[in-house]
Amino acid sequence: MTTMTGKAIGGGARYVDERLTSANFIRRSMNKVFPDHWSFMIGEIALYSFIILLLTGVYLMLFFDATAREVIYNGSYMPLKGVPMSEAYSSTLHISFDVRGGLIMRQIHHWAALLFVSSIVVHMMRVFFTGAFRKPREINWLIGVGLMVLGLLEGFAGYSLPDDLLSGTGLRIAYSVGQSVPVVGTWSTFLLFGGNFPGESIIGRLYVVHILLVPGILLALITAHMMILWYQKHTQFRGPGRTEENVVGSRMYPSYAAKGGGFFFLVFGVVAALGGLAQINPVWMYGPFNPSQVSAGAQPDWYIGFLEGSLRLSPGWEIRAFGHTIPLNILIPGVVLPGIMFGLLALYPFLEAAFTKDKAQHHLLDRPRDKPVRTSLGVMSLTFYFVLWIMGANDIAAHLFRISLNLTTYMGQVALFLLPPLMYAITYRICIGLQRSDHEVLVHGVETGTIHRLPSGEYIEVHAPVQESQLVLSPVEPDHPERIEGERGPRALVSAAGRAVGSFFVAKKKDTSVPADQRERDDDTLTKR
Amino acid sequence: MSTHDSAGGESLTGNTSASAPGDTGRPANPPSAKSPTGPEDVGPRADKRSERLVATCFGVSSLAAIAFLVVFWALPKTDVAYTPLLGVCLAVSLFGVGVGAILWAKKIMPDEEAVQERHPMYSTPEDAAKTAAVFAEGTEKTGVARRRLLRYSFLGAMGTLALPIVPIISDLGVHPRGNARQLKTSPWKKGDRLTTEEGAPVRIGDLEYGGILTVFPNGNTSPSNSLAPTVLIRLRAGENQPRPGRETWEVDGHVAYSAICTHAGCPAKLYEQQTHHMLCPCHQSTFLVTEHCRPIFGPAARPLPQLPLALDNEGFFVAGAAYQEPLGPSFWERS
Repeated sequence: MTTMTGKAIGGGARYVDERLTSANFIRRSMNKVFPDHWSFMIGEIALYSFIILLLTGVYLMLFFDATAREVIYNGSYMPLKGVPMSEAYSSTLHISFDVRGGLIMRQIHHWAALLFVSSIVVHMMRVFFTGAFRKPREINWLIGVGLMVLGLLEGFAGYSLPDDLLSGTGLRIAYSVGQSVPVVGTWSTFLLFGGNFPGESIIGRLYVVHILLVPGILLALITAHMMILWYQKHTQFRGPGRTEENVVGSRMYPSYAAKGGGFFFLVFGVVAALGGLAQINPVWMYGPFNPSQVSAGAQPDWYIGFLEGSLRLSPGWEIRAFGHTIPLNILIPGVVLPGIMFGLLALYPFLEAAFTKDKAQHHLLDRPRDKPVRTSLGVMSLTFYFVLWIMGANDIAAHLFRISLNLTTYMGQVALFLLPPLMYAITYRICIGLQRSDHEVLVHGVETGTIHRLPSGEYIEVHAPVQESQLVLSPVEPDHPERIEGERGPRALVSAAGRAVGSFFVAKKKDTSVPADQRERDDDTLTKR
Repeated sequence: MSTHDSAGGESLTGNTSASAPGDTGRPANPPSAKSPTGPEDVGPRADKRSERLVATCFGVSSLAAIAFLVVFWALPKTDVAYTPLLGVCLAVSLFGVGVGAILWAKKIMPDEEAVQERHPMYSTPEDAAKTAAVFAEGTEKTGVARRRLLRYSFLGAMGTLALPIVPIISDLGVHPRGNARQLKTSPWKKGDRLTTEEGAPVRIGDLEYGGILTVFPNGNTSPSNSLAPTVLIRLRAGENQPRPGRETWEVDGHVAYSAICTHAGCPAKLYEQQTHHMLCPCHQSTFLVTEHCRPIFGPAARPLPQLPLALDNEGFFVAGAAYQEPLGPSFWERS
């Protein structure tokens, strides 16, 4: 059987090889080793949702008509029959009600978009807290930040396309934010919208942005992201046998390909189930856009929520001088603040390297507790972000908890400046505490659960010394693993205590005891028998 | 079929540290009882069982895909269950393939732990020096350092090539000088009738005390006239505390203000008649109607602009004058 498959593959492979000389490349690729850890799969979710977005997006393009031309609706959704609306809104209704399977495609597309941005953000958190952005991976971090910002833009452009009341309000706010920029704001928004809001052009232009411009750049950046990842090889957690000079894991083919490919179908399956069962963005309930109307309790997609929150928290500041107006109440929360947030995010690897004077290459990941300053900075920033995000829904919160709306705003303003430093301090303490408990285990051993009663009547628990194999090398001395063994100081680490935590932050140790090539032979004999 | 491969300078070893210690020479963990490839998973019977399990997953996937087709064509698309059923069938079909593939990898393919060496992430100093030399040689041959005329004329040509982009981009919108004028022009003129969304003119008595009505100039409700929406509110006599000079802008307790929020341009017309607060639902700017709609809460910095009211000879409300200030959110050229 092996020879038959070999022959069949051999013929095709020779054809390709004699044209592309691909044998070496393909063999190296198939043998490429990927480390196994659940947290490395989050980025894959982003990649897979992008593929789902392309597939469903092409389908939606075939039916969507991105024009502002006014038509009278005459489709099968009765409540809106005879209502004047834009062709864009009308064709969205057409997809939702009159195209077979159109609604599920729309909903899968929207859910996949939410998943795309969410998984990018969680993936970035993983990369941040484990220090995977350090040299030599700063370029990929920058590409990642670019992908996230473009993902937000793409999502915003996409959900603005149906020209419904909710998204039209979002566009109105975006117009005001653009207008708030000193000197060039008015002109640039006029250029973008082709005139005063709403104009006739914006839906068509957003369409070009949404289906061609941004997806094209996303595709190029994702390709670059993957190629750099491939070339630099994946980072890995500390563990027995893992060093800065190697990668330990399973090979691309067949194991990783089967698992990764299977994971794509799982992600697609979840999104398909959501698209079928969980209604999302029911634009027919909002009605067509009308600048004189707005719905109360309106919420943008989650990833725009932090901007909504920052606009709500802003005090009513405005500068009027020398014949000009600078609306700080929009400029700061809508332009300056996100600029600073994304700017710091992009620059972080370089700032950290500069402050720690770290010029070394890093392929082994940190446990968050071992870098308390970085971890605390990350939690601090996330707290800042979450306060803004929650405040984007303060009206919902006020309604839910029956408290005054104004009170929620005041609370948010205080929390925005108070909570982040507080969370920094708490996180720092937790990190130090975890380090100490690691040290404790290192010095006194692992709890065995065996209780001894001493002659004096005292009960003590027996501690077993930590085994060598359970030690994880300290990040302090990655280049001198031999020094850790003797050291066992407070900064040496141990994974034995992690019995409770399992492989959550430490690479799991495989129990196979036969070299892979030998195993293959064993399996052959097994099946032959 | 060897996994040992040193082609291309990369060595790869199928390796586990128990029998063949890794680079650090550490012994591996003792096998734990709950190993995924524990003894119960080994043997021809277990192997067959795994194979059947994986095949079942793929089979379920095929069945679900066929069920998708049945739902797609057999069920009317207006049925409540149409989209949910499509979703379930598609999800089961996809899950079948996904779970099957992963089980295949986990239960049937040998569990391996491979080790691959990294290549150093830098070039040797000799390589770097050679590259620099090639570049320097090439640059030298162009003569760009010596030939100033070539250098500057080339840079000049690249610069002027950027010029055609300017008119192309500027034609995306209206002429820059027109912008501010357009934003500053009042969509209401003196004598414009206040009409409802349906186009009906409004007269005294149409509105109860505490009532609010969105009105448009002369029936122009076009969305393109986005700054025009105005609210007409009826206050009780004496409740209004007009700004000095605006005493004549109200008619019999009726006042009119722009509905477009001065913060980010949403329609701010959630009117609370007890407190006379008017709230913008977008960012919660709150305006006090009885005190010329000054902002009392939230991010808005300016009051809502007021429209002077008058009555025409038929008794309908009209604009006593155009708006005296630009409407909507602030912009650079505003004042």
